[in-house]
Amino acid sequence: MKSFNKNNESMHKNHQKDLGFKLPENYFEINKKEIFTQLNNKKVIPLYRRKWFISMAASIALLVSLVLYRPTILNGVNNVSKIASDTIQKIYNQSETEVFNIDQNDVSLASLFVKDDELDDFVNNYVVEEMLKDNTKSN
Amino acid sequence: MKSEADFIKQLTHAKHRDKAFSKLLDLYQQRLYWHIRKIVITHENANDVLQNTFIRVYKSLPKFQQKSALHTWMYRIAYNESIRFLEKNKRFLYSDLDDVSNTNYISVLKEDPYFDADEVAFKLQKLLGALSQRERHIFQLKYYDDLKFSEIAEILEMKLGTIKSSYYKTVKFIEKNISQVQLSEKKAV
Repeated sequence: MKSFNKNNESMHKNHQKDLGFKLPENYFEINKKEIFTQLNNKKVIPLYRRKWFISMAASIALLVSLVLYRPTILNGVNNVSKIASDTIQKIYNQSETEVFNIDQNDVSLASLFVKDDELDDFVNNYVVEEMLKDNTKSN
Repeated sequence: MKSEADFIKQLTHAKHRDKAFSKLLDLYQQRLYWHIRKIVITHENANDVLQNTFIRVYKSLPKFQQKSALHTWMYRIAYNESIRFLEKNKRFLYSDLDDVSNTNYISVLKEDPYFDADEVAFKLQKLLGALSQRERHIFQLKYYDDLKFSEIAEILEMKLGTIKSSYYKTVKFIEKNISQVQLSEKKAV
């Protein structure tokens, strides 16, 4: 590895004396810890911040809501509640890579059984109704 | 110290990675900080860019092909991060890299609470501020960072001849003006 003619101490002096650049006390020690903290934070990304998790959670929530509040919309699909519960179970049991596959293969497929206009109706009727109810309660 | 190849192996080995990275920080954190500080000028900017640089180094180490020396590769990452920072924060990038009509250099320096130059240092900074950014970077990488011309050419992705001629031109310019400054000071005394 390259050994520089100028060591850290002489570099520090040159930059302070020649160029007037100063530093906070113990800057490099503090910064080293900060870099490690950042690296450790980046290694563990909270589940709720992962895009795939958000989209999957939204799909499941929608599916469950449809089963509970508008079961007639899903008349053409057998065992919708089983699809939802199986999917949730798989998510808890499997790794992230496998979960990503579930997201694409199962949840998206389940969502396909619901037509776009039915989804629009659901959102317009149910979500708006719920929002109105919430507002009324809070007032 | 083990060979660089061995050190890189440790840096990319899951078990030894963090310990080796700690060593890497001890070896190069200060060098890269000063390299960055001279480009982005203020301590606050340099702090941000330095952290981004080491995070990028950490992530990119498994892809490092050892076509250049480790320190050259890191200097290049630090340089790119610094330029990226300047491009995002246009207030600090007062003109393109080859333009000499920059007037912000000194005013940005003065804003930095961690800039405290005596009279001679301030005059040197004024001279550096009169150079284009690229001329300044070349001069600083050679004079303050003690790098070889070939390494500077690699970091800045420029031709060796251009680097050398720029450096010697800058040295002449600074020597001429610094001596004038000193002479005029003596006369005044």
